[in-house]
Amino acid sequence: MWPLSWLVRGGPRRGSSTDAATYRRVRGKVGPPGRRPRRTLGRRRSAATAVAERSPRRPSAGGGPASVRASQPAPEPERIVRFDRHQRLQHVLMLSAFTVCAVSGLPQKFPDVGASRWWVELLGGIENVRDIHHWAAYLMLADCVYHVLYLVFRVGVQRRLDVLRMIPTPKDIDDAANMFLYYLGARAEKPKFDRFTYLEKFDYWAVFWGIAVIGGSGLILLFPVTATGILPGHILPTAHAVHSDEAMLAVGWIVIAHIFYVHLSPRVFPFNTSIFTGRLRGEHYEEEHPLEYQRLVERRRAALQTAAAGAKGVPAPEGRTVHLDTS
Amino acid sequence: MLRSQTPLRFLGIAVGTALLAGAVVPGSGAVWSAPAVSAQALPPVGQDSGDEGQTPPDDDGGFNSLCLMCHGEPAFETSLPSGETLPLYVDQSAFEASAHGDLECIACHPEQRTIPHWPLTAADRRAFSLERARSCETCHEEAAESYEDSIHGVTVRLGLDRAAACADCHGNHDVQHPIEWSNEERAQRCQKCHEGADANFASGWLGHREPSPSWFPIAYYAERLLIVLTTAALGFGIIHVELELMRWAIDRFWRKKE
Repeated sequence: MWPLSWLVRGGPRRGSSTDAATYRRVRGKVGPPGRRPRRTLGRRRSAATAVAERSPRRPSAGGGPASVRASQPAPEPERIVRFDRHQRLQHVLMLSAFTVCAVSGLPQKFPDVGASRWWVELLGGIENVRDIHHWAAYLMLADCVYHVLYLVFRVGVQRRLDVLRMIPTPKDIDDAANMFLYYLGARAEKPKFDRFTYLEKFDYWAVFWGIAVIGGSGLILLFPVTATGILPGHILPTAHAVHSDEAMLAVGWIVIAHIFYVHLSPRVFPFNTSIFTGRLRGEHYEEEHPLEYQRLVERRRAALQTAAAGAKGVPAPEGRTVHLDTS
Repeated sequence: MLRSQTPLRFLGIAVGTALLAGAVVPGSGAVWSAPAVSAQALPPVGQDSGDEGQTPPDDDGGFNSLCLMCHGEPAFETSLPSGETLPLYVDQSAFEASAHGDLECIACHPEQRTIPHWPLTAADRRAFSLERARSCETCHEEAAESYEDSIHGVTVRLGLDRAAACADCHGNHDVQHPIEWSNEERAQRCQKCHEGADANFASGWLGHREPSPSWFPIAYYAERLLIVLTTAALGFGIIHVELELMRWAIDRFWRKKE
């Protein structure tokens, strides 16, 4: 895959692991290339694992390259944790449920297309397809409940307010307008984005609202007798129209915009893995979300100064992975 | 960067609104599902609905009595390959009191006008019922078209036999004009499959017509709104993606990166 990305990009991206200078720095190779004695006795861990295991909250436990770097000034964060485990799990669940709902729902919306008939037969008949669709829908609803509870817990209980940066602000309109001007060549630089760009916010809120509409109308279609016990009868044809049309919007948006920006765009090709690994390289972060990056760097500097000025004998926190908690 | 973001902000809002408004114009013409059918008042009892189909022959010479020689016997029945028995009895008085009461039998059963009859092709009663539903299309074209695009029609087309077809709701030889139905009577038919359906449930039935501003306006305007939003969102997405690609291509091939 990576030769293709070099073709698209015109070479390895500065800061990628195949860029020679970065490779040497990440692997902890200092000095001229040449044979070096083993620095870790026992199991040698890969750079990525070693990086992940150390965090600024805990003093470095192992020996190895850390002890070498202790004598050097702490480098800028190499990989920044952008999505925690819950967010990654929620995305994977949503991804799977959405895809399954789409492939089982589209033949029901377009029954006359030959491919629809073939696909329905392949899946074992329309009864099976309906069951698959319903189960994937339950999974999607469960994921939504998980997400809402997670937000309530994170903001209300843990008081980690960084997720509130997903709420749109007037700056996003400015960013969108400036981005369009940049595309058209009227601006030399992209606007400086915060943690979530205006497009990521649009992506999130469109899905949020879309799932609410699809889920609500889908539940009405699943339980029409119960629904008409509470709501007036004309909710049924409304739900039918809204469910399938909103599904077309969601599928269209995901396929056209979302897949492009996280997968096919030349800037991230072949893959933006951060939603699955949770981490983003520091240089990439600085390029994509400079305002958040600055905030993070200042916090780290403040933390380092506090630690250095504070208790002696406690080694300065210097992980390569920084948990992005700028609340 | 600009000193003041305010004019740019207003420009952004204006462009976004224009995008939404621009989506209204093409959006109001496009319909995802069934073709737009002008809302017609339901015809009064006893008249044809105004479809383009052939006018069925009236039973003026007692042709039906020939059929009723056998089909008027209460015990007349046959069996199907599935083992089910198919009753072939037609209640004459009920039929003559129905909306089709002055039609000939062969109006709906044209293939049975000779004796011996054509052999049955259905494997079970459900398949027979769905086969018979095809004959309603001959006269009730618009209703059949609308049915094909409804939930029941689509489900039957995809192979779910137990979904409702014409006779499941309207009956076969005792068809009443639907305008005479109350919602409670409709609900009786719905309950054959939808347990616990009440008059409110039945009031959601579109009646083989498309929503319009005067007929189920909420469904109509909800669909229009969705089309506008879809056009606006996908239009924004496509433009954004195209511009990104254009910018990348220009930077890559025409300008050196700094």
